[in-house]
Amino acid sequence: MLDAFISAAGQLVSPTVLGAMLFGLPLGLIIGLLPGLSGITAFAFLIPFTFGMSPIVGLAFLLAAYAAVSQGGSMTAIVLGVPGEVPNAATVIDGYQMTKQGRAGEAIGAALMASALGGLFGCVLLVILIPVLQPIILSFASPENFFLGLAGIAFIAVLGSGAPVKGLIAGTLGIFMSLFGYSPTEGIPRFWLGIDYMLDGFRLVPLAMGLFAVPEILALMTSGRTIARTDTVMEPISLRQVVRGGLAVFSHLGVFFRSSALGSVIGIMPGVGGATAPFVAYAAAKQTARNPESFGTGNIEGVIAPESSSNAKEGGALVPTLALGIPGSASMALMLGAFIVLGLQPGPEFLVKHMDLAFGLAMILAIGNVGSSVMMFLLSKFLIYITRVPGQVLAPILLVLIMIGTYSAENSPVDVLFVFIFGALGVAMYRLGYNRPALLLGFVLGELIERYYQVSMNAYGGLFFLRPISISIIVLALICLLWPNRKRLMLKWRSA
Amino acid sequence: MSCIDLHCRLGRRSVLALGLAAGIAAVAQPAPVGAAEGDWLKGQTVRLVVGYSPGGGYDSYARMLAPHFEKRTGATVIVENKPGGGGMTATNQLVRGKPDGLTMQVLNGESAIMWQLVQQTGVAYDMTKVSLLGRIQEEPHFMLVHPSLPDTLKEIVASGKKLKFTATRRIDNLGDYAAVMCEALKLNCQIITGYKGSKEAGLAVMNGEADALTISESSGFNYAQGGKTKIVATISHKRSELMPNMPTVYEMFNLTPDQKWWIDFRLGVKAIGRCIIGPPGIPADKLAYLQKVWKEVLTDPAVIAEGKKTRHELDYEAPDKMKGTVRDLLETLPADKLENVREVLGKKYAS
Repeated sequence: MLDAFISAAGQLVSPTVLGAMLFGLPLGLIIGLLPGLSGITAFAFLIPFTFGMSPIVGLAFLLAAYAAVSQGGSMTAIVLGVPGEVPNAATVIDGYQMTKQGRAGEAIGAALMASALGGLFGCVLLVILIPVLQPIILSFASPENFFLGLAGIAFIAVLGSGAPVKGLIAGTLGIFMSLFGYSPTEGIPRFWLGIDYMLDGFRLVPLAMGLFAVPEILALMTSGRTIARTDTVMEPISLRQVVRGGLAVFSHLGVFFRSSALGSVIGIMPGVGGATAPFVAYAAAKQTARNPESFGTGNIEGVIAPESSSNAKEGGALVPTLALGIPGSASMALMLGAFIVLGLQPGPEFLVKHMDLAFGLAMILAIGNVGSSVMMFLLSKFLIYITRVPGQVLAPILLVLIMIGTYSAENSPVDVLFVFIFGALGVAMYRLGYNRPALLLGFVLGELIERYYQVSMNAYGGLFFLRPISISIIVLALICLLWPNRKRLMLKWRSA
Repeated sequence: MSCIDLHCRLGRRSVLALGLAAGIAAVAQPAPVGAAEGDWLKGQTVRLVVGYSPGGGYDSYARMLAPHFEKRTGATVIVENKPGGGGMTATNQLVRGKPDGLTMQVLNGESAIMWQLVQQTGVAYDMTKVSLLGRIQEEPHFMLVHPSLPDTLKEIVASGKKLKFTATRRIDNLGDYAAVMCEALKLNCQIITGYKGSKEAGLAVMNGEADALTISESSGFNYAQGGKTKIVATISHKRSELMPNMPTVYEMFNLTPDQKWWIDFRLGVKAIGRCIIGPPGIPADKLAYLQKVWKEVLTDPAVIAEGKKTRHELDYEAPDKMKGTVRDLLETLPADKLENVREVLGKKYAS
């Protein structure tokens, strides 16, 4: 075990491996900064470059770029209110509010530190778990996926701050929208209106871009103001803000650890998509906070929670990928493709044969997370300047970027059309005070719940909830939901 | 254009001229495909459509083959990913396109045929009309079970225990194989659909959520490493090179003609495999040229060796032979048998 670890570390310090990472990081950052392009795009784009590289060099190149993508995505979420990839939509809620208040530097600092440390957390967990990975993965099955999805749905009302009913309506609309297209179990299309595009129902990327980016771009366009409100006296742009934000993570360690742990567990479960982790972490942070009403108005914990969970998730997602050759997320499915291109055979035997490589991957991901944070830190001053560019200049550029980003996700012009349709929905929801993240979460989880409910019922029958891990998830979700009302509940219980 | 490129172009032209001379000389050959006929592709942009996102198996096959097609035709090949409908959307669009020979698709031929057979909602193509250009590959299937089950398929069948198979959908190269096995061997079966992909379907067998899975040779072989699942049968006419000791279902059981029909039927669909197609109605000379080029590419030892290195095996089959199989499957099946197929694949083993 230890010799595998040392051998991995030894392989990493070679100049070619470090060079490949240095080459991958900026490429990943650029892809991340372009809204709509995700880690999946990064892999698809970069895998052909790895032909002929040795496995460790190729994987260093890919994983470093991959780690950087999510950093880039959170930057645009904070600075522009435009999520770089879907999971970053959770960071928009508070991060963008902070930017509007002229605290972009602080939000960026917090996001960078939380992602770097969250990523480290995920990797350390991965390293600790490597020897016992297989039994852990095999203990998660469809009922667990279902209950995690259900817990996520339960948090929708929490997301709708101040207006739980409107939050629930938005969440329900999201679930309804997830019903379009092929049914997840029968493969029969629903509500497809005879249109080929609708066979797969609505797509996630145009939905996220439309809901979050279009209303902000429209506001910039019509008001012509800068993103940061210049009517208040603003601090001069400096790295000091960023540092202050970064240090804030250390004064919110509870939120950080809870979110990272949540992210890792969600990553380990192969069926639950990556978009779920940051939202669930955000909602959990809000539930357990002393001042939940400040979430959504620029609370730094609302940045720390989604960012740390989002990066911790990737360490988790590597777990099933390495242990069994079962991808923990869509991007990890492409990662498996890369394994084969590089001459490695993923599968249950992988860990036995390549223990050192598994440790190496965890370390690369850790270095990639920290490295991209450092790189972003150096760029952050420039990024804050963007918030002070007049809206009329910024809006058209952003619009073009999200259109290109959305188009390239599936090479589909219809997706671009849907950015505008969902954009109109987003504007309406924004004006009427309906919660947009709740809709997105409903959309993501609706499909998940439907799929795993039916699989669980078919595989285990009606008593599928009696599995120990399922019960633990239910109990944890209940505790989290009832936590803010614990005193009232205790009083009631005692008086009864 | 660099000097070197210019030389290359000149070189290719003189080769073409030679080819033309040879073509004229060989007038006695039936329907000769003269090299000059290929000129219509030179400098053109050819789109090789893949019905899935970048990075998957079909995409990597397309990207591996594209440069070889370019080299032989002088065309520029763009691999275009058009995911949607499990690959169906891309085929629907392809058959509506112009039959100019400039658009082709790397197709999951098995699913395309099966969907048409069971009249899956959304199918707007007709596989008997599309222009077949050649088969890239076909793979035998294995049947895998959870290690707690008996070691041989014979014992499993004899035990009469209800077998839960995993699949993504009813027709997905997993579920339809399972249905055919259940029908042919008269197994007590339930097919659980809804898993996100074949890998997740495999995981469900490993963690004991379900009992069995029918899956392509390479994936199945992989899942069986490490003892979390075990292979109990080869579903093919001949044994797999990966597991030469594992008998085929034909060897294992004395199948009645009706039982045999089911497995023959599914293996017939399998023979279409991963293939390349074009829209219906490509002019005969252009079609012949495209078929010739793809044959050259897919049977070139250098390309086969390149594929072996990255686990992209090639197993070419000529379009004429494929056409016969497609016709057999889609046009000659009697109505009552077709009804039976739809019932077995679509509904029978749902619970």
